[in-house]
Amino acid sequence: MFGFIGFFLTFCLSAFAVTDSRITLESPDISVTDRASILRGAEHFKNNCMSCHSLRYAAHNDVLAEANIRMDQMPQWPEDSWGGHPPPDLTLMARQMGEDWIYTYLHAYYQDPSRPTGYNNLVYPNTNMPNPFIASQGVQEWVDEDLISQDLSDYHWYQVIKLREQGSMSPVVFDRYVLDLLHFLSYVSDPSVNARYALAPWVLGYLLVLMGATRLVFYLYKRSR
Amino acid sequence: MLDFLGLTLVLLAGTLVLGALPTSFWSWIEERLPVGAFLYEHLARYPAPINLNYWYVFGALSLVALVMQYISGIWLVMYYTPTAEEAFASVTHIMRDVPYGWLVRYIHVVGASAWFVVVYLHICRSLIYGSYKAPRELLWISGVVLWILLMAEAYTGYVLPWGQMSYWASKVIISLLSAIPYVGDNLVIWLQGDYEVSSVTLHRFFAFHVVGFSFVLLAMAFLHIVLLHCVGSNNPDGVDILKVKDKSGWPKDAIGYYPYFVLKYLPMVCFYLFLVFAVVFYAPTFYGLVLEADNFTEANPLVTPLHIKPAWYLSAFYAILRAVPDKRLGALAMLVAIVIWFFLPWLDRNPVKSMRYRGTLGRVNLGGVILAFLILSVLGHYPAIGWNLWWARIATLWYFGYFILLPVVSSLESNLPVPRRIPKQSRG
Repeated sequence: MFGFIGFFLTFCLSAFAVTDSRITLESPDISVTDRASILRGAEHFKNNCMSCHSLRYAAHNDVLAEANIRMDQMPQWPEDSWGGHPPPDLTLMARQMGEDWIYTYLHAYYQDPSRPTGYNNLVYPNTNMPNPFIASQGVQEWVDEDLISQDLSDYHWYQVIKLREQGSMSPVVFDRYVLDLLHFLSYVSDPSVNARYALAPWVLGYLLVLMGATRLVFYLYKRSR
Repeated sequence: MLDFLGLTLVLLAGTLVLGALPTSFWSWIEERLPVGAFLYEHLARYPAPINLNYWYVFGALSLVALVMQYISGIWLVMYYTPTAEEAFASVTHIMRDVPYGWLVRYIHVVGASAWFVVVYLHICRSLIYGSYKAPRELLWISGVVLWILLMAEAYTGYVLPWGQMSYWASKVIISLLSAIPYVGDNLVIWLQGDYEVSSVTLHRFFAFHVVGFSFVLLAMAFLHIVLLHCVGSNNPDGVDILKVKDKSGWPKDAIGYYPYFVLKYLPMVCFYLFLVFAVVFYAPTFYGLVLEADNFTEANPLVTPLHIKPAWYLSAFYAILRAVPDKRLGALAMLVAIVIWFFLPWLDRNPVKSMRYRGTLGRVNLGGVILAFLILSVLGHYPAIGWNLWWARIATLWYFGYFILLPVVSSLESNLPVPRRIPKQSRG
């Protein structure tokens, strides 16, 4: 019983401990209508993220169909797996955390022997997620060990950590890779975006014309009185 | 697209069929149900003051918003499931898999916020032109009741998507009732129908949102218009137009609401819809104000979000609640901050209605309470720490200061003489 309460309290505290980022978030330019990039992102997702993460609300998504991602390929974790922190579903992650957060998070892994996975993250300190980019991005480390204990809220990730060993991708290619992934996640979080942008000019245009027409009627009515 | 075309065709055909019916059919109906006479009496023969300006569009816009919420709401209920297990998934299903479901839901969500913008501006207009004063006290009271009902309707609706913020904001607000001495804790359990906010609570909030509050809201809105038509509209000059009438009994400074004002306000209705749909299409979450980021993750009773905050339209009262160091007194202050509006017609001692003819003191006092409300609304959105808390305390005092000072200020003011007729320069 006391064990359970203790666990519950630690759990609550750890939930509180999910603090905001240690560093300044980047604001990449997101183009949710860049279909080619979204499809590349879907491909990256299938090859790298889907071993742990699901997209369970996106069953009827057109991009998933085009990238040949099926729901039965996605993992399903019991609530108590991974020590009570199973990898979250990513369908709405871009809406929940924001594109800036995800972009910076994926760039901000660094080597930290004190963590069980050997890696830590500047945006989400003490994250349970293992660094997925050791082979592609490479290994990052602190620019200066003195920074570790400092307040870094005004720093960008690239001012705090640097690449020690480059992986299979150059920094430019890796950045493109993360952007593709981000476009995909952003699109999946709100697939209505294409329909919204397509319908908008018609509806708004109609209302503008109607506004002009009714205004003209009022003007003519006033003049005739 | 075909659905819309089909609907348009059906409507067009219906209109044509009805229009082709002989006049004798319509007079047969009119003799038994005088709809035409009613509309004529309340639109064409409703004496609207000639100087009504664009501040007076917000009442009509509020009605437009109500109709939009009802129609979009009906379609949402068709696909929504009010259980803790399925609510979140069913909303996601509406957003993704139901044809045009995203449109209906965004209209409902953005429409709710837009409704509050309209209502707050409508209240602002009443305050500026003194529309709450005699003989319109009951009209004002019905308006305050409508506003409180709208907040209850919005709050119960906010819980339905069963996201993190839905769950925790509802928990915070419902726990306020536990501040009531002796019965508070039991009252909370009775309202929740459970020891925690749970599926049972969600289900009854759904009932309140869809049937309970919404129908009372509709009835109250009808009563509000009935009351308006009993005493007549106020106007920007606060002149009583019913005092000067021509031989037929028609007020000399009035004009029928239809067609003049209907035609005048129609472009504004289009403009309102334009703004609402611009947000729906291009910024449906409106930077987290209309749809919070935290609400895109399913409710989890074990994980408390970092900053629990209510929707922006309740934010000012949340700031007042937190500004008071004691929970019980805070809840009381919040309650008073809302209920005190009922007494406004009697707190204002100045017989002059419109700010156009009132002294500087009254204007400064009114400007002050509006500013305090805006400051509180912003502060309610941020954590109550450090300077934020002190600013919230100053703004809270300022907010209540308006009502405390009002009886004094309104009797000390030096007014300008109010004309008997509506002055030339303010006629449209």
